[in-house]
Amino acid sequence: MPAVAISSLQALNLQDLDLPVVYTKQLRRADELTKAVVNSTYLGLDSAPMLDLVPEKIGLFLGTSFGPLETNFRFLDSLLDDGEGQASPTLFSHSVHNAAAGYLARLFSINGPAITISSYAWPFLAALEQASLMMCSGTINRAIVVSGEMYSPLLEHAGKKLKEADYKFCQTGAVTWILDRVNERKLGNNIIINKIEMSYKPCDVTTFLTRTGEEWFFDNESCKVTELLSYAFLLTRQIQKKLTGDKKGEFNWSIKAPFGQAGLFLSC
Amino acid sequence: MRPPLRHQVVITGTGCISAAGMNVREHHETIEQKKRNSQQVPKWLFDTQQKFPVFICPQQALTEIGHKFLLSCNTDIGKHSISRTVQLLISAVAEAIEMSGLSVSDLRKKRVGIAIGTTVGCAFNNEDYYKSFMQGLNPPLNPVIDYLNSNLAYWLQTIMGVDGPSLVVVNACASGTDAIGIAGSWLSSGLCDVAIAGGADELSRIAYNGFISLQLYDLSPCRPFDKSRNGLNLGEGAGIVLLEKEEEVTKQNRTIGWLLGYGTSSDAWHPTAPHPEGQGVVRAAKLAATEAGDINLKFDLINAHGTATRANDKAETNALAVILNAHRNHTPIISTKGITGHTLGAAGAIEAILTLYSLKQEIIGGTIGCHNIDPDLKVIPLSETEKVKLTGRIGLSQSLAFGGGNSALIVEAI
Repeated sequence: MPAVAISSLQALNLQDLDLPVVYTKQLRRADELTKAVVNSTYLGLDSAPMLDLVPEKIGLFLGTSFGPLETNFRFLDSLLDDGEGQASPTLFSHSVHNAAAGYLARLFSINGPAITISSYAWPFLAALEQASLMMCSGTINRAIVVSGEMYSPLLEHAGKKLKEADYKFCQTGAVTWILDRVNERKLGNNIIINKIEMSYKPCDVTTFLTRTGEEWFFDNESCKVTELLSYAFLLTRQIQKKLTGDKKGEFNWSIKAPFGQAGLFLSC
Repeated sequence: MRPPLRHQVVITGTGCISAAGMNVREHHETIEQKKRNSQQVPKWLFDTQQKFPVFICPQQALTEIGHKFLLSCNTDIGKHSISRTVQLLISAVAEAIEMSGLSVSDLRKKRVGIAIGTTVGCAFNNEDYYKSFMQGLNPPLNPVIDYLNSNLAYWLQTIMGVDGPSLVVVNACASGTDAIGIAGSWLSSGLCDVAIAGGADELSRIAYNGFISLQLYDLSPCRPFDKSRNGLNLGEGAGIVLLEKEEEVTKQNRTIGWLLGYGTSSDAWHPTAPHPEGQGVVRAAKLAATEAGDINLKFDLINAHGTATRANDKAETNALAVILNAHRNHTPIISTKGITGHTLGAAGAIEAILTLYSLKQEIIGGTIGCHNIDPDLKVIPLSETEKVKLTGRIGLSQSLAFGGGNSALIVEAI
């Protein structure tokens, strides 16, 4: 079974967004979620090793909890305001969960699998697990693993009522990791993915939104998770530190929450 | 000589619900009788002034067998209302599990993977809550909590009390096909012992008006591959397969078929239209055939996506001309959307099941709604009046999706 390595990692919030000029035209109708995932993927690919890969051997795996929820509401606005028969076709086509993956495939010429996964627990890890499986099976040689969420006033309002008045729903943002097979890599350090584990248990489903009781552990550090995407951001930053450091060996990251637990087992 | 095929993933149960029937048997009776249960949107589903036909299930979408299944799970589910998509899902899951000869308590002793495809089932479509929120009325949170409680895979895993990988695939119209393919890969890689996979989707006012806004919707019952076709009709339903490993099943004689291969490929072409030559469909079918063990695999039946939009049917048949190559004039090609409508995230799963059972019954009727085959198509699908005896056991079921996704499953009937 070929080892799978993380070649490049990016995490960004919409406020840090500096959309590549080359994509301005193609993204003129895109929603903020799509803009965020395109930008993080552009930066992720830009810092990944240049490999001679055919588009059919590149796969895309996008994990999201709520997807383009607000775009769905904008379509609903057009239906409610303008009436049946006048609703916006553009908004409808962008309200589909895999609309962002469609943009990524078109803009980055990906002809391999393009799978969008919805999970309220850890969609980024679910996408990472599926990407690793397809890498190991030999279906693809590179995986672009993305997670993105879109700021939602409606869910923030619900979170405030469920948790506390200063509850914040995550800002629109995205995380992208580029995975390559170890024998395909030519540059840089190797962070090898050895194992991904996830298990779920029954819970009060409001914790999917409030993230109450969720905590991650990395080496000897721990941190409470307060927002939907923050586990993926924190994990990305920790691994970026490892990539720039000179420490070798195995290191594990784990997360516990009322709805289950997960672990990512890596070596450098 | 044909290379040996990959018989690793066994299908031991199937469940199906749509406008064409409340179980798999009823679907075949509907095909046999060439019935079309399309209708105007009933008031109990949602209010609309639109007159475009739909293919819907009865108001009570939870079947008797579904009720029994919920009781056998012995789980407190009374706290939250069950969405229509979940009711459809449970009805199909219950039928598949019963057919497999397993019980919920049997499954609790195994690692059970759950992969479910959907589109509407993952969206927050409660218009009353949304309107109240936008008016600053601070509505009660129940609809939001129900939404958080309706992730199909998590919900099923929770009520069944089983452990294993689980996810919801949201790849638009290919979601059900992809969910089955992903579940097959879990079994092959040892992540689980059994997998429950497929798709479920209810009809919503938002999706209904969305497809109408895209001008992809026919005011008449849909006519896949017909010269006069003018768009799709939406439907709703669920399709579920129970997958197990070969070694677990053979000695118990529970095999009803095999999932031989799965392939998926992105067009990278257009947000809503397929590549005109169906290049992604060709790649997906070739990948599935390669996984099955023979890239030149000959198919005995093709169940096409066949939505009846002008673009889909043209692109898909262009692709089939390449996939079938020399066999293009001898392979039966059909679409079952003339009896189910387009059930979105459930479509690929329902169609894979109907493919399997047509192969088992060794006979296939033509495409309901197709009377005058479009002469511009590069292959010739079966029209409504035709009926063909099937002599082989291997079928291809394929799905095309918004976003440029194309996915294919190859099944073999026992």
